[in-house]
Amino acid sequence: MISHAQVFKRVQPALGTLIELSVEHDSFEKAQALMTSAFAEARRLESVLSAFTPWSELSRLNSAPLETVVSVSAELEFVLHLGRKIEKLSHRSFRLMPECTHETESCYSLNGNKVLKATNCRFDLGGIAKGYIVDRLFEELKTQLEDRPFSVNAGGDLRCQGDHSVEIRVPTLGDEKRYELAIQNCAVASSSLRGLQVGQPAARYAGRSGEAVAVTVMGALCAAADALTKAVLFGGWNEALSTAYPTAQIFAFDRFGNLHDSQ
Amino acid sequence: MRLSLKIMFNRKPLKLGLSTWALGVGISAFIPVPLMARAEVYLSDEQAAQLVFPGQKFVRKEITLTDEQVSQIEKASGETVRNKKLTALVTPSKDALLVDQVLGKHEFITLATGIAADGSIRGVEILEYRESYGSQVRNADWRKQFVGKGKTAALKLNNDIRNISGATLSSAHVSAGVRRLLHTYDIARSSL
Repeated sequence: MISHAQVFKRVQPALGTLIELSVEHDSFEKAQALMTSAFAEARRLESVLSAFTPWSELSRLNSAPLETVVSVSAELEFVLHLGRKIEKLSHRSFRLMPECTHETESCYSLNGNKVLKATNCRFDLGGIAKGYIVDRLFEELKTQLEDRPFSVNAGGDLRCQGDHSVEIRVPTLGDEKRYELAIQNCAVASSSLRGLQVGQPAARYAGRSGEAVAVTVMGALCAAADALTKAVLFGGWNEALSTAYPTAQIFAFDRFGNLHDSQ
Repeated sequence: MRLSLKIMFNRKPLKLGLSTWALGVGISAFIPVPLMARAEVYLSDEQAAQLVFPGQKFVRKEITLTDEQVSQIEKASGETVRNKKLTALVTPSKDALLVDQVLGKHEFITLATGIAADGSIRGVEILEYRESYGSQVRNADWRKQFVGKGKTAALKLNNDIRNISGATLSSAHVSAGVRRLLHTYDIARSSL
């Protein structure tokens, strides 16, 4: 049987960036239907996890009265627990509440799907939610596409099946450097101090800054890779993270765009 | 400093390295991306129209905004109208797909916004993304790193590197473009 599969790509704005879906399929109509469904799922998940949408579930959690137990959806529960895990392992280099200056445990507690806020600090899942949504779209497409090559790319947080190339852009003192990374069946996420003066600490992380100006993490799940980029960018790679994520590959770049550390 | 030159992930060896000038050794992997502008066409405007308004029949119209309309759109949307000419695919019931371009920091995006007859947005599709030459391309020092590379694998890579990580493609310009088209539809509706 002759395969007539083609690669179809489609882009829509969502999550504060542009989401690109790329699928290999032998039917334009079926490929578009799959992507239409995936984009709808992205918008649904954005309405759960966005801190910038007033009616999102996360916004409702943030505005809930203090010391009140709030039951959250399975999606939000998953992201909060994964985020808390990386928050602890990274000694709060990654934070679920990036602007919080208190000790983590005093600000919120998690028990299954029950969340309790103890202070007015706000959850902001910007460092992990995009990766999580990439994972969810990937899993949805995977059920339909099975072993066909495809990818989900949300502004640099991406996950793919099959062979793909990723261009890594690194802000430097001059301009930016670009590298190519060949990947297969994995997730990639990048974070940088782009937009900030190189060498200066990231303001939202209250003075915390590692030596790297850009970090790319390659791993199995995009949500974890997404969060790990912040953990490494602001605190470096440590033994606890290495033990918890033994297959993660870390690429840290200095302000000249040179690769300094990798696992 | 720890540096792995080859990485195993999912049992596939992945080559990793800096450009050879940086490491001073013959690593051919993590290759600097060649200096070429790239364009990606995702959908035609007709395909986008069918995705946003399935099953509808469209009439293509090329619209030229009057100076007065431009002024009204800019005032209503708060966005500058850069191009007075735009393409519209319009159904008999006045549902319309408006096509326009937005210019980001380094990218040129062709945008289609589907607007229903009641003035509500039905869908936004990116039709084309074209990356313009960044300043680093004109920078002689940056270009030097490619001198003498000859027939390396890098030369094979300029055709199809679409995935980008580390540079968030801001949707702010897209949002502004959608807002402008929404008011364009409202103000130029009688021309559709």
